[in-house]
Amino acid sequence: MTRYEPPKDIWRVNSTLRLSEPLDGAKDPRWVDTYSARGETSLRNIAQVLGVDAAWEALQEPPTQGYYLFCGHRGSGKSTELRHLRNEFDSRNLYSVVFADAAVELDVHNLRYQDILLHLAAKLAQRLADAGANVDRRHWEPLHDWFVERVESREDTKQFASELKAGVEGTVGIPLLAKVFGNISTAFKTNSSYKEELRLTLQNYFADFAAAFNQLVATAERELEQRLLFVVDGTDRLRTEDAKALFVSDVNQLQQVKGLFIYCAPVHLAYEGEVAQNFDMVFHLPMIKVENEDGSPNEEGLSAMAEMLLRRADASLFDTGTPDELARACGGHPRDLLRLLQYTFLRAEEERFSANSARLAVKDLSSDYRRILRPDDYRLLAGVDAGAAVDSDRLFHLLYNLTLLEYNNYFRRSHPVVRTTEEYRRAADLMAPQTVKV
Amino acid sequence: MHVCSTAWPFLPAHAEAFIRLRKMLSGTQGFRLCFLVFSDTAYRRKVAGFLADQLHAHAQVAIDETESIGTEELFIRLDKSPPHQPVQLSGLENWPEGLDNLLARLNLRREALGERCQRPLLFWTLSSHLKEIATGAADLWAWRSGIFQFALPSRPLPAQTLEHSPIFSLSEAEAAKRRKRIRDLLDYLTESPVMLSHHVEMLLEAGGLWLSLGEIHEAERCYRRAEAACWAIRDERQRAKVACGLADVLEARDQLEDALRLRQEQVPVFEGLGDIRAVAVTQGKIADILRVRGELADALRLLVESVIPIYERLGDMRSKAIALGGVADIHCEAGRLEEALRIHTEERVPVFSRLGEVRLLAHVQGKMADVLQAAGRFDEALRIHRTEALPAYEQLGDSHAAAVAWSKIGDIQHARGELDDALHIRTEEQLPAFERLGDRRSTAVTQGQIASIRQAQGRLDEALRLRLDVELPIYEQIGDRRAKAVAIGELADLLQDQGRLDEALSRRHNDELPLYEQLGDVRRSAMAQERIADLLDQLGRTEEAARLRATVEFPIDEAFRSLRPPHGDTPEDTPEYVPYERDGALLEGRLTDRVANTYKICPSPFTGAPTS
Repeated sequence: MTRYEPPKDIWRVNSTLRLSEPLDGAKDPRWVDTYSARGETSLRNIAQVLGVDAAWEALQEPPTQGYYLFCGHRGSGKSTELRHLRNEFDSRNLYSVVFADAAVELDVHNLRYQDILLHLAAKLAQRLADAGANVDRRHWEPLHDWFVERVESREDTKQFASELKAGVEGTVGIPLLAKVFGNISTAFKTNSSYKEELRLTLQNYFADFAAAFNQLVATAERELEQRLLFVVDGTDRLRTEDAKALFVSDVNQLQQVKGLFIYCAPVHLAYEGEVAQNFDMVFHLPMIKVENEDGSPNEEGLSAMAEMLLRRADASLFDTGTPDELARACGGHPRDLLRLLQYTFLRAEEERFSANSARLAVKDLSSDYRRILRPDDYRLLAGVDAGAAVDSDRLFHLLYNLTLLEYNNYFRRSHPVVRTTEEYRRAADLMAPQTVKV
Repeated sequence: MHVCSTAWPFLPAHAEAFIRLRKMLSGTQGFRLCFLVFSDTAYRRKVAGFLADQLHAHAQVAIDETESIGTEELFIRLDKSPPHQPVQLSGLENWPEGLDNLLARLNLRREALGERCQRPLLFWTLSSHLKEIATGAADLWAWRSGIFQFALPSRPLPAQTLEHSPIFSLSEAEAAKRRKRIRDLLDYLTESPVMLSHHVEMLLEAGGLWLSLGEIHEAERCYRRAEAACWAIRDERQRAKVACGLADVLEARDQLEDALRLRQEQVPVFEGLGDIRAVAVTQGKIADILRVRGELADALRLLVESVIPIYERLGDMRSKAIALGGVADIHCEAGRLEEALRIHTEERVPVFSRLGEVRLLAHVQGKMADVLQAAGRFDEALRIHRTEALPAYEQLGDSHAAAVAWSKIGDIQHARGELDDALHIRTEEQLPAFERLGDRRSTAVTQGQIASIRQAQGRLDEALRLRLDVELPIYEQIGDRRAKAVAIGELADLLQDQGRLDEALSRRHNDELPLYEQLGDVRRSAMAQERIADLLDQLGRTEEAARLRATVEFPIDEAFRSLRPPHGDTPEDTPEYVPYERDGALLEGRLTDRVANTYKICPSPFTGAPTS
């Protein structure tokens, strides 16, 4: 196997940079373990809750069921970390992870609990089919019967059922279930005209469906000789009302399927008590700590960020100290680190990432943030940084738009590039340690 | 590395953005999101064409407000270009269900967009929309690989632009003739002891003549006398005609709401009387007001469904061609430039040529040049101004119209960054012409334009001198408060550029804002207050700024809703020039100068024929 080497010319660095693609965990040579750098708040906490021992080698009395939320700021590395979790659990035979990326596989524009559960059922059936599991008829039949009775036999969905079964003649058992439920998922994604009818059917006969699904889960765990873990990424992207429907009003339906589930949730929902109460645990993925609460540099965080850079661009391409400068400037926000690298490339006048081009890149990124900040936001940010008791709903907007970053233990700092602006400096100069109310 | 074969031909300030964009796209495959910021549609089109040639970004997907497509269809279109070649997406602001809706959809379907559009996506957006994108589509925004600025400077052209003012096109002899006619009419009426129906006609004629000479107050006096007479003689038709005359006065004073209401009230009266020409004329003027208020769809509907069919029924091809000018203007304002151009060339030019209407023909050519300019086809626009419109006006002996044509040539050169050439035209052609004509307002505007060029050239002291010592005193002398307020705003910008923030604040607060408040101009008042808040921020007086913004936010939104141009950026980024045409009268004017516009030819409201 060829050893991975980061690109050695800046053009190649640019063409291989992808801000839109999560890494496939440690399978990707560019992945960096950020557990310590995040302030020991990471997947290991999830693993612990799931009964994974410290060495990630065995399960120690895992919970029989559990529903968890996984939150983090946009671009903080949630998707990458969840994929890493999947890969690690799978490869270490700790859990058999049924992974779904709602943003890609489902229609997040219009997503309901029915869509997710049908999709997970399809994925689970496919997992069993792929494993060549010889599942006894009585274990898969309830889900099949549910489909026959509630979909295939009903006048209003009969036609749809025959469309779903098209091309699967001769297939039986688990492979048939995988195909049929997979087709339902596809139909949902492409907004089939039957979508609402099927959702209604599922809603009206949910108890039957949940019981059949539960039986399949139990069977799968037995056949695969592993516990199942369902991980749903992409649900953090739901609109507020859809997210509330899913994680608040329909949460009981979600939880009628017994098992272990991790859902990605919009970060602002994590602050709402109602949502937190509905789940067994809410995990936050904080930014990587490049500075400590007292403002001193956090070497571990800086080192992790610099490492991320050096896995994307050979060290010889940087002026001395430039990776550290970029690591500091991104505030421990992985995607912004990559963006800064890209902006540095755009500003590079020679074939390297010079200190000057990095300085200009920081300025460019600060301009991006200046576009979204209101004049009075600087005062709030300066207030947070000064340790003043800031009392404003606007803080959530600042967290949302990433001008305010959150680290472990919930300490917050304004984004370092914002701190380079004249507006911020002026606000900071005026800041006296007092309560800021807006 | 991709090598660009052609030098950057547009504003030098944008060359860097182009170079960075080219660099970004070099060797890039797959999805990559680049935001290209613009403020001017015409300029955007031109840059887009250049990008197509130089960066192989030939595929251009434009969202059309008349076509209701979903994101799925949008993705299909984005996917049609050859693999790996960048695709340009524009027209976000035209999304039929609104920008918010589009942003929410794109945000939710970010992954699908990235999956379907396996090529760099050049996402054209108005600079004023960037903040909305960053907050309304935050997940999509998070994928940005760069923001590339192709927005024109906030004030590429002076805030004051010139308009063709027919009053200065009148020869002295013609003006004297009109004054004599007014005198004769009024003398006759003075001698007449009793008001009769035809006396009302005479007062209406006198009112129209006064308006054509720019004497609004005198015109109103005539119409008021006529109004009183109508009540005495109980003549419904005459009363409606007088109301239309008064509406002209209101409109000249920028009281558009009152003018609109008054005109709308007359339509059923004329219909009841069976006077369909008067219906068409009145509805045409209603459409003018609607257009000025930004209600383009309603204005267009009125012209197409009512006004033009009436002229067709009457067989009046001249009036129809004039009304079609309004239709073309609406298409132009809505960004449908090809349609506007087609109407001018196919439906108006042949009619005026056939009728031998040389002046109207020259005017249409000027309009065509305006459309071409809006389409970024600057060379063609310049050619028409230079070889068609200008010679025609010179042949007609219309020095004022010719000077305005020169000013438009200067505008184009200024917009292109050809500052020396623009300066030459302003000083050698335009300024002497207006001075010769005694058009002091246009002289002052030209001086302001020269100051803008000086400012762009970095000669701030010279710019300041022109503003303070030349331009402002003229507005002061002629009592043009609106022009004065605009010029003070320009002056404050200049002071701000020089870092003289306290003086800039003082000018805005003590001089500019009170003027707009006196004029009742909500939009401009709000803009001035926004600028004051910006200055307060810069001076570190953030609490005062926040307090001011809290009070000003609402009126800005309200005012802009009706006045924001469809493709403009922030209002100050948009040239205020709004060409318009009214039945029988060739007018070009600015929205904000309605009050100061004291020289309109006001056609007879009943015949559609200009009184000049």
